[in-house]
Amino acid sequence: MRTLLPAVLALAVGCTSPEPTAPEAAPSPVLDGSWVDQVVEQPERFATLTSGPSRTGWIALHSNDLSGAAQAFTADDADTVMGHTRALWELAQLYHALADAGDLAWERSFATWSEKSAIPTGSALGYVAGLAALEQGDVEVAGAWFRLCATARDPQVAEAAGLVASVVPGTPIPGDELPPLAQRYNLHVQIRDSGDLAPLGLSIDQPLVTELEPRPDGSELERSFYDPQLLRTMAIAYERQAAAAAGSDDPLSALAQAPTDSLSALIFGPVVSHAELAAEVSRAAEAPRTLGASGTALAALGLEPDLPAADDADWARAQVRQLDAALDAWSASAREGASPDALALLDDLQLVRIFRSRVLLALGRKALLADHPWQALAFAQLALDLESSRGINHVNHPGLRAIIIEAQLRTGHTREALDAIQPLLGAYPASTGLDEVLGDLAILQGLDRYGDSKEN
Amino acid sequence: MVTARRTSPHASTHTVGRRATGLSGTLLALLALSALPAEGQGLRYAEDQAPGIVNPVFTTTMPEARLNELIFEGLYTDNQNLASVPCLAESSELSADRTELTVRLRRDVSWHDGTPFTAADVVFTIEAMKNRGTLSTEKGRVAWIDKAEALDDHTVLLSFERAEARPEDKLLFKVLPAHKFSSQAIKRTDPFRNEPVGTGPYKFARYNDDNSISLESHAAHRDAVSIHEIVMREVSDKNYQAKLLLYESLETLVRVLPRDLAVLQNNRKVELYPYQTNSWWYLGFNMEREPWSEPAVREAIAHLVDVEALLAPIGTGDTLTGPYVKSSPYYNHDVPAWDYSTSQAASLLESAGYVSDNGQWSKDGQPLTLNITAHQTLESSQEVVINLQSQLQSAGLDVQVEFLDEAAWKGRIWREHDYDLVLSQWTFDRNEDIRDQFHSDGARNFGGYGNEQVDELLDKARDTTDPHEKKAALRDVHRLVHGDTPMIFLWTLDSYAALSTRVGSVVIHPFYFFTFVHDWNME
Repeated sequence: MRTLLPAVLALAVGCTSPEPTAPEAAPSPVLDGSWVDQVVEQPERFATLTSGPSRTGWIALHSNDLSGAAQAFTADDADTVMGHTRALWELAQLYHALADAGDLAWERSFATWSEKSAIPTGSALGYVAGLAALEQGDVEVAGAWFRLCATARDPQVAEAAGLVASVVPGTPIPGDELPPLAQRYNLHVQIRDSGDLAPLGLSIDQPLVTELEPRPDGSELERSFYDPQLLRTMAIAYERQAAAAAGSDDPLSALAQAPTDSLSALIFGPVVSHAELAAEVSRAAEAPRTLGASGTALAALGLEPDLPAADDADWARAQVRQLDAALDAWSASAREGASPDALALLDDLQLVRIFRSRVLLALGRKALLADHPWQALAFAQLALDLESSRGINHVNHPGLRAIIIEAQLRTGHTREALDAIQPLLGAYPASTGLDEVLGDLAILQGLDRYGDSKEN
Repeated sequence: MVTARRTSPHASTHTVGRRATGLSGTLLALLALSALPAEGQGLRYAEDQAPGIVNPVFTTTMPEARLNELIFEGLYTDNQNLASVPCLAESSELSADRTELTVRLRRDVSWHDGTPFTAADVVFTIEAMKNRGTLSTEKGRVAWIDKAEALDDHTVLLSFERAEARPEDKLLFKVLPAHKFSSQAIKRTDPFRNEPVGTGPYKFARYNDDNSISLESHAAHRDAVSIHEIVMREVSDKNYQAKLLLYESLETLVRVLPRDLAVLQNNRKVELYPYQTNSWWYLGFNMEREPWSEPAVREAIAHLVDVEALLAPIGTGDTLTGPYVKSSPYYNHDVPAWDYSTSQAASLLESAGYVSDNGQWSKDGQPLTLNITAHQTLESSQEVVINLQSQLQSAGLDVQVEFLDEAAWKGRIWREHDYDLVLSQWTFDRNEDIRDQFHSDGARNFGGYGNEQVDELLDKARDTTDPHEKKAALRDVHRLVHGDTPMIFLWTLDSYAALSTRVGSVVIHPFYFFTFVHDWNME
């Protein structure tokens, strides 16, 4: 057993937080038989999984380095395929969540700009606003924005606006001699169809349009507008890649069909067992992003199966307290009589904290989909490891940040959304455009206010 | 008794050698817990220091702003979605040319002493804040209002200097009771400071012997509150605040030290609430005093400060190069940090006429002496100042340090400008408006900084409604202010409040904290 430890501990980089206060509750069976329990009880299975050719992939998945995991799972054994599928599927869900926040941010930004300021004449703003409206399926609003581009200073903006407006959304613009903006539009159509992100190149953190606007005093104002299509394109592309990795149009179903003697479909996730996973996948056909948010295991943990009608954050906080009490009790019982290796696994890999974080991530997504942003905010904020709150680590899944961004936006806290996106900018440079548009929106919303400041 | 303590010249400063005084005070505070309300009777929150003055017109610190939020109200306030909604106002109507706003006031409002709230109070507050004799630190909040006129007891007509798009968004300043003042030129020393009367959900009850302040619910307030007593506890040693919360001797910490986060997060009787305070620490030069008026000398000092080393002992945070936090849309990420470089500092000091003799910098035979002043209750400031003193002394400066209490700070720093270098922190609301700190006319520009180009850019940023123009202007301000070095920008730390799980329905305003306290409840 001791020989397993080096392999195990190598995953535990940065996991140094103290365990929660010992509970007073009675021993709990809630995680008995779960993947957490199996890792503790049968560490050799964990060692087998993580000592193979995909070791770096599992390390990346453990630390929520989703892009790193997607690249590191390259072998073709069943466990590697499972890990690869999961990493790509999680990336898809992350980008969908960011795209949802982006849709809201772009819509509010341009609406607030229209309300509080003058839309700059001759600018490409109308083109970008039109694309943003198309992303939300609002062809009529998109058309109105595109018509504004008729007077754009840059002729290719006017031409591209006319071309995009002339095609059915989601279909390519025909022709060989297209202006660069129209080519970019076609690129999105192509990537959403193929799943191949390579044509995007390395410039995903760069603006779609940068223009210089002459000012009355003779100076020029540089304006940059980012691509409102990018995040959704990446989400769809990763969905397609996950399907390709799984060899199935439905990668979730492929996960549910994983051999029950393997940990690869479950480990570091919110679903405790293969039986649970099958039930969750069946239910998740309607809402795949909430995988793990309504399983019977959660009921065993004492959580309510359904959200209440009202968006009551106290309810969410009470749910988290219940979850913590159940997990504390299970941890305490699991530690009794556990071998030193088992204790090392529990403490160094922080498996229970990871499970807790993933459950809260799923509950946060469920609350957001139910239009309960205050509850979503509570679930996501309580999931974070505050000692590393500015970074992504084994507890701080990037999806938690995406939930916070959208929830803050929905509750009017745009400045807070801007703060929440910062930890993502390094690892997910495509979120740069969302950062910029959130900044514009925060400025616009504050235009008429007196800014207050105080010492200390 | 509190007034005497605050105004005593003997109590205004303490040196490093007397640091133990603060610890003894904390131990006494712990022993004095029996003086607090019994559990279940009220909500107790901790401040590093009791507010020096309870009068919204003179508010300069966050503890004062938080207490004001409990006692006073404005015509408008933020709702939980941070949109402006009527508070003392019932409704308002903007003229077609947007230069006049008719505000109709609520008729069901009374002051804490029972006097009815009327339009005269609104007019008085605006005129008092604008009055030159008031010397209000908040005068910028009403500078845009040209005239306030009471049309009747419950209607006010506000006239503006120029058209306003949404003037109600600026009507969040607190209203004062006219009948409690004898003149529109309000003085900091008016008795009101110790007998505040507002219209808010809580009224001042008493100062307690332990320097705490007790508030009681205002029975006549239109919104019934669930928590009937709130006690502001002064706990000057921040290291003990978390312990008091864990011992259930407090229900609320408004700002948790980074190093306490883990233990509080893992305690099941406490919940943490992140909230956005755009706060940054800085070292500010007195630019009205030689040699700190010389750019080369200020820049030299900037090269001698190892910011990362100062930050490391007090927690995790982002180091900064300008007057914004890094998540701000105005932060200029192209501005590089000052290199920590004794050789670059030496070149700059030599260019300013200083010579180094046996490792000690001097000019015309006078050693380069620097006095560092810090607020004694700024979290972890003693640790930072001592380390900074060590860094600068080893670089050849003669460095003295001093810590001031609130009253001495306001006198020495704000009014008399009697300092070389201050260590302090600014906290901004979501607008991150630095005009008061860096415009040559700014009400909070006690360092005497002035740059015509910065003034023009700040004016442009204030006046434009184009977000890209505003962003560009303020990123330029960041660049210019960094280059001028009126301050050495240090870092920002994460802000978390911690509350007992006994407190429910908690929503925290990201700046004023207690705005939604009327919705809170306790088991």
